[in-house]
Amino acid sequence: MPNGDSERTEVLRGTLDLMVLRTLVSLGPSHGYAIAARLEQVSDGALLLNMGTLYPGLMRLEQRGLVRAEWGTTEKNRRARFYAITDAGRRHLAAEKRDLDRMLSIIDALFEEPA
Amino acid sequence: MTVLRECWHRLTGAFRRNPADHDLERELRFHLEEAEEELRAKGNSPSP
Repeated sequence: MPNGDSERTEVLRGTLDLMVLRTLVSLGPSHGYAIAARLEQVSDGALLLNMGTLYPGLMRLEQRGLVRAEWGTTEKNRRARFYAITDAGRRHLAAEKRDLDRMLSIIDALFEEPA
Repeated sequence: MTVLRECWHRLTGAFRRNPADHDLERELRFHLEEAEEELRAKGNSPSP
């Protein structure tokens, strides 16, 4: 894979990680379907995560210790795997948010310059 | 809805490498069932 594609993939993965972690902070422990539904709702339909993107992403977060997962029972009495953000995940989220804010402020400053 | 099931079969086939992937299969099945239920609730038929 060319370096450009690899870097772009990593940027996209990092953005997805940020959104999933933030969603878990908002919702508390949630299964994958609820996470995807929440992101779709918040983005007003702009963000549609398919299973092939969501579940590998959740697996990566779990392997990195940023979320933990355990089987539980939904309110409809179904077995589902619930993900919860860990302390390391919260620290990572805060750091990523700071980086993102910094980048956005730089972009804002660039666009404020006269053309 | 068969599109979703087809995606599920492809995904589980890709992940089905050892018994531990049984958990993932269960998880994906749950996701599909939730999606089907939501579509039914919206009045969409799960069958083609």
